[in-house]
Amino acid sequence: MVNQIWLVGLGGFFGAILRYFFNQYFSTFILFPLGTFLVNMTGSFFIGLLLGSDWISSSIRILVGTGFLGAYTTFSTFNFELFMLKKNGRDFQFFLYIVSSYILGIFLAYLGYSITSLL
Amino acid sequence: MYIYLAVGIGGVIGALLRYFILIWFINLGYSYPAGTLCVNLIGCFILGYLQGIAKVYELPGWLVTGVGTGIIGAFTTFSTFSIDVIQFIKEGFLIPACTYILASSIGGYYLAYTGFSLSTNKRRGV
Repeated sequence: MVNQIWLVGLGGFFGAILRYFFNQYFSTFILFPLGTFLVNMTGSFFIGLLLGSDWISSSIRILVGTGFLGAYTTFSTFNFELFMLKKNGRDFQFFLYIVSSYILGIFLAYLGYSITSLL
Repeated sequence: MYIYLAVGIGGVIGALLRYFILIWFINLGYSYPAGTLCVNLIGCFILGYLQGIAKVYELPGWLVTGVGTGIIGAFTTFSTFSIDVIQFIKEGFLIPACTYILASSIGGYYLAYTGFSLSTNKRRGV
């Protein structure tokens, strides 16, 4: 239990920093907030890869899955950005962002899971 | 550079809070997705509220980034949500999968909205 706390904290530290880095790097607001979108999509794919492979130890799962990928992806910023798009009357971007995030995110988790569970 | 450290420390706090709540839910006898849903919905409300307060009181940028992007950003998670949906579908629980998606998406959006409205309305009321 104590050991797991360290793993979650360590993963969380680097996950949050990497998400912030991507958010700064892709701060250009083309269609919708690209930074959060990319982070959530890649994170969903990698958690699929991680949980599809049953040979990975539970320590690595907690470090990478719960700690790193959990902190790397975000649900609150995603929803706040949706609210901001709606508030500013950008209905098309709102629609595109919400639909693509949920459909692609779930699909990429499935894809990652399928790849490693078939290996 | 310090802002990265603020986000990182926030990330440690957020990830640990999420982990403790997930463990707590499991000890209460709920499944994994119940804890994730709860964490995500609470996080959306708090972030909305914080952003409203930050706008009204003009809080320093490092504080808003450290708490908003660091703590609350790491507290909530999209990757666990996605894989929870896949686990539901894999086990044949299609209705719980749909309920989970709808509760997360509609709940998350309206709680962010409610949080922001509550904290920005406070100022107007005074």
